[in-house]
Amino acid sequence: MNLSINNISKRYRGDVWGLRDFTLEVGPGVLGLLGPNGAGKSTLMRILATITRPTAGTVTWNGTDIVGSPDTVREVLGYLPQDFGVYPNLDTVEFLEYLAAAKGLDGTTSRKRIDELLQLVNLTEVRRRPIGKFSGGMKQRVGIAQALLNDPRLLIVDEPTGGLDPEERVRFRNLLSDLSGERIVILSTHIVSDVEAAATDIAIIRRGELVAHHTPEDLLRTVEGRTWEWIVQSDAVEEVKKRYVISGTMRRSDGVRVRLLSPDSPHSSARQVPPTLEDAYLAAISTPSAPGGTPA
Amino acid sequence: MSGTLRVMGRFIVADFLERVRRYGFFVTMLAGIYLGYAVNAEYIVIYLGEYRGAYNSAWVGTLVALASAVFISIVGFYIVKNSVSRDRQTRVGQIIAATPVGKLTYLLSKTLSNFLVLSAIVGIQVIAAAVMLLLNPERPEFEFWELLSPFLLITLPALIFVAALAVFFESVRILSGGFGNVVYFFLIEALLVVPLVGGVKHFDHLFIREVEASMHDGARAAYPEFGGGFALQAGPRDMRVERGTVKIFRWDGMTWTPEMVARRLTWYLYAFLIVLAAVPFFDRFDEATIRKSRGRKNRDGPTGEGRLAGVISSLTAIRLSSRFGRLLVAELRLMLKGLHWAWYLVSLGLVIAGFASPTETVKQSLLAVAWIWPILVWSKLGMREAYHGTGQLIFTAPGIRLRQLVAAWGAGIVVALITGMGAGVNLLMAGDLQSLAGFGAAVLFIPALALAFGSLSGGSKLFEAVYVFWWYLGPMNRTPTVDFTGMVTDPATTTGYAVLSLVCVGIAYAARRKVPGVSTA
Repeated sequence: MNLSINNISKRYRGDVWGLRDFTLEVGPGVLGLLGPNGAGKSTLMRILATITRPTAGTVTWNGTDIVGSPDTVREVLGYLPQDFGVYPNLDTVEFLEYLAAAKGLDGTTSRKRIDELLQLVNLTEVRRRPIGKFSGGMKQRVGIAQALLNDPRLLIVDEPTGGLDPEERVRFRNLLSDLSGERIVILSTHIVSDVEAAATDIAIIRRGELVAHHTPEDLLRTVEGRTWEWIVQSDAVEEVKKRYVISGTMRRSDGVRVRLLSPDSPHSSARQVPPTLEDAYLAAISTPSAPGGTPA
Repeated sequence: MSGTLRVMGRFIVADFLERVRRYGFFVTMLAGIYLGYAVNAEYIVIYLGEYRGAYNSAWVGTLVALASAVFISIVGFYIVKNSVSRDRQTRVGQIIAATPVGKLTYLLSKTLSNFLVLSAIVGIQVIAAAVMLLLNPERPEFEFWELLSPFLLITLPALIFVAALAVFFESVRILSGGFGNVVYFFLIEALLVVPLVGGVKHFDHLFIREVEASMHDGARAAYPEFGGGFALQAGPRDMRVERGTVKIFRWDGMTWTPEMVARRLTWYLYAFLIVLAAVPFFDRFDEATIRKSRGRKNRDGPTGEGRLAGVISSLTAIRLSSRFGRLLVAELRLMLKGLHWAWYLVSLGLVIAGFASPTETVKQSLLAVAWIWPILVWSKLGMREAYHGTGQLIFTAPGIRLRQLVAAWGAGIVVALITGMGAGVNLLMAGDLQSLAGFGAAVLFIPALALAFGSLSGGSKLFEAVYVFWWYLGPMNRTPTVDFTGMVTDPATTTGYAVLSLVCVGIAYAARRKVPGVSTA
C-alpha cells in the first residue's frame, strides 16, 4: 500500500501558489501533516481526495495515477474535510445511509456498519434526530462516522479536532492510532499535540512547500541541544523575541520563563532542556524562505 | 445620526461590492444588454393598436425604461433577494448582530444596496438605449433629458419598491424561502396587471396608466381617428412596420407635472414603510428564535451529551454493490424528507382530482396545477451539494458524478409522476396518446431543468423564478411552444422538450466538473 506524491503544484488565479513542487512518499501508518494556517495543507488534502486537480505533478495510489483515474482511490478513500455540511432534515442514520449508497456499499452490511459506527461516535441515542439540530461537536462525530463507512484503506482527515472537546480529542487520536495498522491515515492539522500522540511520520509544510519529513524521533533530533529555558525580566522579553524563535513563555514571580531555540546558549543563566515536537515544528517553519502567501 | 449614516454607507458599499463581483451579476448584466438589443431589434415593442411612436429619444427612453422596470420587477427581485440570507449563511450576520447596528439601519442598508445593484443593471440599459438610438435609422435628434427622465422617474421608483420588497420577504421567515418566491411572482403579476385593467392608480408602480394616456394624446394629435389601445409586448420580431400596416406618430415624451413627480417619489416613501414593516419580523440573526420555533415539534431535542467513544471493536466488513436503486431511493428520501403532511395531502387531492375530472379539465388546468405544486421540491435538485456543503463528502465516492446526477433526476421524475399520476391515468384511459406523449416529455423535462439550473447557480431561486414564469406562460396560459406539458403542443414540440431534457442533464453534468461548493479559484 503506497501513496506517492510526485512534484505536485497547484496554482490559483493571480499567480498564487497553493503548493509548489511537493513530493512525498506515504506508507501505512499515521502521517501527521503539520503547517501553519494557509500553508497549503487543505489544498494538498483536496488533491489527495480527488476534489481538486493539481496544476502539475502526479499522485499515484499503488502505482495508479489518481488524477487520471480518481475512482482507483475513491473506492478505498475515507475523507473528513475541514468544513463540511449535512442535510439538516435527515437523521443520522438516513444521512449515513445516503452516503453509503453514494459510496456504492451493499445495503445489509452498510446498515450493520452504520449501527457500529454510531456506537463508536456515541450517537446511537440521537440516531433518529434531525442532524440540523446537532451541535458542532456532534456534527463532527457524524463526519468521523461517514469517513469510516467504507472501511477505507486511505483515510484523510483535515483539521479534524476543531469541534471536539479536549477529552474527545484524546479519544480521536487514539482512534486514529487504532485504525492505522493496515491503512494510510493522513492527519492534517496545525495543532502539534494532535500529531504528537498519533503520528508515525510527520511532514511539515510551509507556503506550499515540504520543509521536513521525518519520524517523530528524527524530527526531535533536529533540535537536539538547541532548546533552552531562560528566565528574563518582563521588559526584556520583546528583545528576546526579536532575536530567537520562542516556543513558550510563562510568567513567574522572578520574571518570565522563556523557552527558545538557539544553536548556542543565549545566556549564562539559560539551561538546556529536552526538545518537544512543538520546538521541532517551530524550528522547521521558522527557517527563512521566499515570501508569498498561499490560500488554505 | 451621522454615525448611523456612516455605518449604512459602509454596509451598502461592502454589500454592493460583494454582489457585483459575483458571476451571477455578470450574467444579469448581459441579460440587461440583451434587453437593450431586444428593443432595438423590435422584439420588445409598445403598440397602441395599429399605431406606435417614432423611435426618438422620448419613445426609446420610455420603452426601455418600462421594459427594464418590468424586467426588474419580475427578475430583479430574485436577483437581490439574498442579501440578508447570505449574511445568515456566511455567519457574518452574527458578527453584525453583536454590534450596535439597529434592525432598521441594517434593513435600510440592505434595501439601498439592493437598489444600487438593480440601478447598476438599469444603468447598462440606459447606455444600451442611447447606443440603440444612435444606431436607429428613424433617429431624429438625440435629446438627453427625454431619454434619461423615464429611467429616473419610471424605473428607479419601481426599483426601490422591488428592493424593499426583497428585504421584507427575507425578513419574514415564511416568505424567506421558495414559498416566498412563488408568492412574489403572483403578487407582482397582480401589480403589473391591475393598473392595466383599471385598478387604483396609486398602486401603479410602473406609472403605466399615465404613460399610456400621454402616448394616446400624442397619437390622437397626429391621427384624430386614433381609437386607443396599449400593449408592451415581447415576442418574435414585429413586421407590421415593414408591411406598412402601422401608423407612426411623433411623441415628445411625458410632461412631468410636479404632482406626477411627487407621485413617483412617493414610491420611496412606500419602500421605507415596507422596510419599517419588516423590522418586527427580522430576527437579527438570533438563531435561537429559529430553533425555538422549529423545536416545537420536537421538544426533547438532543442535549449534546455523549462523547466520541474512540474504541474500535470489530467493525462489520463492508461489501460493495453497484445497485442504482439504493441511491435513487436515498435521493427520493432526501427530496421528500421534512415536507409538511399537508403537502402530501394536497398531492393526494391532485392525484384524485386528476383521475376523476373530465379529460378536458385535466388538460386545461389540473395538470398545470399538479406540476406547480412540487416546485419547491424540484428546486432543490442540483443545488443541495453546494448549498448544504456536502459536495466534498459525496463527490469523493467512486463513479458518483453521473450516478448521483441520474439518481437525482430519477427522484425528480418520480415526484412528477406521483403528482401528475391522476392526470396521466386519465389521459391514458381517454386514449389521448399525443397528450400522453407530452406528459412523458414534461415528466423528463421539469426535473432536468431544475437539475441544470440548480447545478449552474448553486441555489434554488433561478429555477423557481424561471419555472414559475415559464409555467405561467405555458401550461397556465396555454401558449403554444412554451407549454411544456404538451397539452396544446404538437408532437414536434413534445420531442423538442424530450431532447431539451437531455440537454439540461448534460448541462448539469458539465456544471459538476468541479465539486459543488468547493472554491478552487
